[in-house]
Amino acid sequence: MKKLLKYLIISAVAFILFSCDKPAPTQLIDDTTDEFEVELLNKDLENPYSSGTDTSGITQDLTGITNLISVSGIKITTKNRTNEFSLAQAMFFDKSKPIKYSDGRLLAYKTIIPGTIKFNGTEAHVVPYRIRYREGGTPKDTLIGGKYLLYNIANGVPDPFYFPYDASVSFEYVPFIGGNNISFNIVTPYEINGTVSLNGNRSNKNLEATLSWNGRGEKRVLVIVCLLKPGQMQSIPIYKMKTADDGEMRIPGRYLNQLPLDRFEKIVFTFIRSNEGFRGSGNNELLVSSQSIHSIVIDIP
Amino acid sequence: MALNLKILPQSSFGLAGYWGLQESVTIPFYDYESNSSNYFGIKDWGISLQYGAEFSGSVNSSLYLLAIAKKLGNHSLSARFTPGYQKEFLFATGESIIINDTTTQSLEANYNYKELFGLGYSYRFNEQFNAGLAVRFFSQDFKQEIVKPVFGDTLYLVRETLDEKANMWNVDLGIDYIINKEFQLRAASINLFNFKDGFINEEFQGFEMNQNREALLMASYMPADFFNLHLLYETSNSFQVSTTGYAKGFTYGLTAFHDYYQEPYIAGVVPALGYRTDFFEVLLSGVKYFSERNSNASFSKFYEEGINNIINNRYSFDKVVLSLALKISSTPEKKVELINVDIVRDIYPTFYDKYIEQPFAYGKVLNISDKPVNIIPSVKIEGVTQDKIQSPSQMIAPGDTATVPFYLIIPDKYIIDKATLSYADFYVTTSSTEPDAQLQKAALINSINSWDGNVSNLRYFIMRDIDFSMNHAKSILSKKKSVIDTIPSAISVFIKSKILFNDFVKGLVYTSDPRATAEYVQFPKQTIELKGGDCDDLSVAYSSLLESVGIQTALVDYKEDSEIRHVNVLINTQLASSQAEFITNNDSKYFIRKNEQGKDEIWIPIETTSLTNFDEAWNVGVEKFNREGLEKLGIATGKVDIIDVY
Repeated sequence: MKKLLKYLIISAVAFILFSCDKPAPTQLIDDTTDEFEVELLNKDLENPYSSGTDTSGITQDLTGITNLISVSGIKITTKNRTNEFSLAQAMFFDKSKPIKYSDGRLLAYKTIIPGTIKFNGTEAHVVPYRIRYREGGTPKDTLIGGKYLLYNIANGVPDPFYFPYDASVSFEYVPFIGGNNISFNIVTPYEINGTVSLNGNRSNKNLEATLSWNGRGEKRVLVIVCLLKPGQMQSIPIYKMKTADDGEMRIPGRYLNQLPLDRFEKIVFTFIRSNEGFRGSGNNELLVSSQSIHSIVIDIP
Repeated sequence: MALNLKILPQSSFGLAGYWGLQESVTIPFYDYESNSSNYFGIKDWGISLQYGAEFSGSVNSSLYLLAIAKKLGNHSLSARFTPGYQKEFLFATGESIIINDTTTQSLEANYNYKELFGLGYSYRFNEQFNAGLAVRFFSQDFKQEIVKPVFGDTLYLVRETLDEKANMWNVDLGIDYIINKEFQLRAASINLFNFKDGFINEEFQGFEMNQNREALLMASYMPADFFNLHLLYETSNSFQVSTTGYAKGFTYGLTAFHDYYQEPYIAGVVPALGYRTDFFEVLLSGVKYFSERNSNASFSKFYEEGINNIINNRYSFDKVVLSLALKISSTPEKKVELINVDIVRDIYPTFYDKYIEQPFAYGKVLNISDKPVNIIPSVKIEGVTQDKIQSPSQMIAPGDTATVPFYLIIPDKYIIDKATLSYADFYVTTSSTEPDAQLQKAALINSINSWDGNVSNLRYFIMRDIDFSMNHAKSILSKKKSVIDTIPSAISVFIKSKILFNDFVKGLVYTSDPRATAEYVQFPKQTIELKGGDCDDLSVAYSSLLESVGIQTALVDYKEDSEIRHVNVLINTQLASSQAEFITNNDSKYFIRKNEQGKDEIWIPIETTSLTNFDEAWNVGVEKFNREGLEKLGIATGKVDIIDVY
């Protein structure tokens, strides 16, 4: 009896020990707005290139876009001074004329100038459209055609185009040959005003950036992090971060401290609140985009 | 994310519910959460485990607890391993990375809070107070995927996993106050002392377990075995109410708990049903929550409120738990109590076998079991006996109190020059070698020359030096061999007695006992070597010489005056009454006593303090014996007593 009891106990303990799982975990569903998506925009910081990032906020991959109309209200804050600009542009691609890398990958399409375009009644200029890219480790650029452009640096100069926030911009298209005129209003977003708190310093590799803006609680905002070399005017876009328009985002320190900051003088945080929508379909598909952009230029501590 | 989550280690919740002070209700499950004093009612070793299943949509079985406990007198030690005391959270970090311009991958995290093991200690100060502490070890395992920029010639975003572990020790104290069998109070701390590691990675800071210092107050009302009522209150404004009971081997418990951090007001119940014997207990319990539980939950709620307990929180699932406990005891359950011991006789080491016949102490023993118990009393005296001296066993009915005699044997080689205060340990044993009860009492051990004044006990002094006496007597008689060989055998005893006395008294002087020790008796060797003694000493020495050569003697105890008692010696001449003329023609100088065969024998009294010669001592002895024993009717009234040495 004692032996039987002993075997029973040993068997029971062995069964218990070997049949155990962990207690059931709980899967937490992220219902917070404190999230962001990150994308690396430039791998080579010495010879930067981009397939479409510029101060207008156009960051899309142009290979997937048929046609594009973009209007932007842009502010650039350097120290305590803020300059405002307005920008409108349009580009139409000819899908039958792809531009490829030497290995056959699609880079972009040639553009066409099919008619005249007006934003808020002002006719846009046609200017060359050049893109830069990298192939085989070598930076290159190529002219892919022309694009429509209006821009206002100050007081209607050079163009009398003023970007209205939380309003609309009228768009008119008149083809050169045949076809129908096209006109519609482009709804513009609420103005974005950002601030950046950059703490720590590069030598201790403890930089931390907390970004704040006038959150609207709708959709998402983009934050582009760029670096600027001493004496240069053109910044190098590094990260594109997409986060909820909740007014605050803390960029984990590792995103900044792993960069070779000793080669750069300034860091630029660009806040972009945009409206985007597609019109038409097929070869007439049109991406219509309007954005409020606020770039803040800070000396790297 | 800057967080300060309220993720707290265990407070008072137990998977078997709340059972109050466990000795009185059930065998232990080493529930440190509600038993910080850590007291448990086993006698020797205890092992317990809790194994259960959690219902989260799927069924996960876990070994919640494996514990061992040991009791050492008033000290109790325990250790427990708690692999199932853990809560794991899986979630997306909110960070995502775009790979190859198109593919978005979300980063995930896994935070696991565990209590791995605990150690407990308790001390029982008396029947009413226990106090103790519990030390518990917690671990927090955090894994989180991150995107990390790596810069070489070019810049890359690398997806990697941060893995960090932070440990924490938690110490709590508790005290039990048992007012009486019906009322008990307990108090304990929650998270009194914490020693913890910090997190290195910023990602995990704010997610670590928090430590709010709180207190537990518990009260039990137990009017009957089958109905006990318990209330447990935490200063965090949580409480548990439970009822437990025991009848005919079956146990039950029902605990309802209000958790400040959970909804609804009564967050759930823990019903339990079990069966127990003296050696094991099995208990099936369940945890049923009244709010809906889901394996998916909101991160924002977790982010805002955290959790308050690892195994009982808003993310815990319903459970069924099987608890097993074994009492492995080399010490059987106590069946009797030794209420008191009364030492009725002083201990005289020379009376080595006297206490075999006459108990030197009596104890009162109570049978506290529900069955008749056969007890074996025993005693051990520090410095006197090496082993326990057992007394005859005795049967005691359930609930009865019996008076139990304690007998003693003193080793015949035991020597003690001065009276000493020692300790007697009294034991009462039932079914095993370990005593059920014991009691210690102070005992006076007299010197080997001490005497209790009882003349019958002088025989111990006569016989103790019998070897010396025999050698001494033979030496004297051998010098008179020529005389002894020529006398008729009938008067041989008489002549030998005379020769021995005349030689014995040479150079002897009468000396009183030392003043401070009135009842002091010398052994024959001491009397002969010291050449003197009082009546006790001289009678003992002369009797010893005679007895050593086969001459029967008796002592005459003259008790006519309580202040001054006297002893002298009677010698059995082994002459028949018809042979009296061989030694005297005066029939008043002897008297007749019947031997065991009923034949008359002539006995003569010798006054050993008459240190002249045998004839004179005989005359003095006869005179005293006739006057005190016969004329004053001392023998008839008992004032004169004749005590045979053998």
